[in-house]
Amino acid sequence: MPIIEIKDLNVHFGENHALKNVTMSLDKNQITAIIGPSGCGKSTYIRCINRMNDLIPGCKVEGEIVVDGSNIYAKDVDPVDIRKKIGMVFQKPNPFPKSIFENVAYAPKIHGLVQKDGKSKKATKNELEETVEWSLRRAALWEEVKDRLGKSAYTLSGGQQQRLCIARALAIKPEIILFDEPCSALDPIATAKIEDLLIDLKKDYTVVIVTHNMQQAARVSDKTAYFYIGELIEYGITEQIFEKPTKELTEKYITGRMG
Amino acid sequence: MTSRIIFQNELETLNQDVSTMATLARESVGKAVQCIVNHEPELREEVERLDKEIYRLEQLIEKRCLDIIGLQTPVAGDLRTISTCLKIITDLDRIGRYASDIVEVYDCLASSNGLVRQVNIPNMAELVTSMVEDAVKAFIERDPEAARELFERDDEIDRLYDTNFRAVLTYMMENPHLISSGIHLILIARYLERIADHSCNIGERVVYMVTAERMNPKERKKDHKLNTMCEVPKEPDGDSYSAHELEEK
Repeated sequence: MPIIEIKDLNVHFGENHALKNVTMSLDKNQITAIIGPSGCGKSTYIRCINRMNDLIPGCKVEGEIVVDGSNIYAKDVDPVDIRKKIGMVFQKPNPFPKSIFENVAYAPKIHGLVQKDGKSKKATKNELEETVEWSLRRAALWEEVKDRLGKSAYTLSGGQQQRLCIARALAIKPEIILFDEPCSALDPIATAKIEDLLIDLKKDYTVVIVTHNMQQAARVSDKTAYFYIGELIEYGITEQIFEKPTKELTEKYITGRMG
Repeated sequence: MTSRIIFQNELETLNQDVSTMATLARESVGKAVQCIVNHEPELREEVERLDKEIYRLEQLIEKRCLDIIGLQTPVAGDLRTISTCLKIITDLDRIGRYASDIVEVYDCLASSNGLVRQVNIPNMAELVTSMVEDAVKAFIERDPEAARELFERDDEIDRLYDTNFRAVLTYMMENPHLISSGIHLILIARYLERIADHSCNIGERVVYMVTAERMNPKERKKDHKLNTMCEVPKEPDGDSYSAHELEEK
């Protein structure tokens, strides 16, 4: 069932037409991988989904992105509300210069805790502790940090910092999580942990991941979209894309003969 | 600019090795048939030599394929090509073995009094040799249509095997002196029939390599003598299918 429907998405950065007429829908509780050579518009695309491009001067977004039935680019929509619903994890782990606990507790402290009815309420100390533990467990980090929650997040390894960022994104209970090359700064063991985590997370969340690592896309995703110079070239079931892509451009890219 | 030059070269070498192996397998079947049909015992050694060379190539190609999978992480058409190579070298090796088995029974046929010709072995052998040739050609030329055509001819081979089996049985019943050579003739017919099956396996892999479609068992087996002799497993519905549909099937 689609949770995100993108219709005729066009993005310009000044003169540069970065995304051209992209139309696709993303399924709920599935992992969608976005692949393509550098400069093809992958990051631009993923940053449109939670309106992160709004922060870039000269960026113009046209078209519709409908999440749960409403267009997130409608005039009355507050981008902050969108980002509560659609979390994001970046290429380089970027924890706040605070303790491990504070990193995860930061968003619930500001936005309150999301209740079952979708509304937020101010968290008590106990509730905050529960949320931090739940988020860290969900991000498969709790066992490694439970005895040093007060320590600076910078004392963690790169892989742990990235899982901390995932826990931080989970703390406000988003529906969708966007990952922009989450493993490119990590070693193979930390990468494997994140990949296991992604597959575990899709039970409860919809995941979109931009990756340069083709094998990673093949391993973790249900569907794969291939972008080239701002255009969506091919989008389909991952197994099919990696066994018999329908477009020659896709085959050239995934077999390493281009890009 | 073409990238992955080393990978490209490795694939090219692999293709050449498999083509060489396939050509040797074809040659060994041709010589084995020539040996028994034209009574040319001197060809036995040649078939044995080819068998050894085919086996050596199988080992070499398997190593090449595993190296490429391990080091180059191939996908899409490249991965299908490598998986095809890995599968068909087993078929080619078996073809070489059967050719060798055929010449092994040559001595036992010495007293067959021309039974070889009477039971139409030459005709069957000719058809099987052409199937091996065309399977090899379909691989080299990446021709799925030529590969699919092999299956119709396999039905013909199955019929010939059946006919030959009954004919030899009749000769043996009429003249018990022919029992020994008759059994060996049935063995040869069986080896030829198996060689035809392996040619079809190669054809099936060529179809997969080029189109990513897996052939439906219905396409593979339209008319088989064993249908009347054993239970045939239930066949999946529909036409050919892709790998990601396999689990559903």
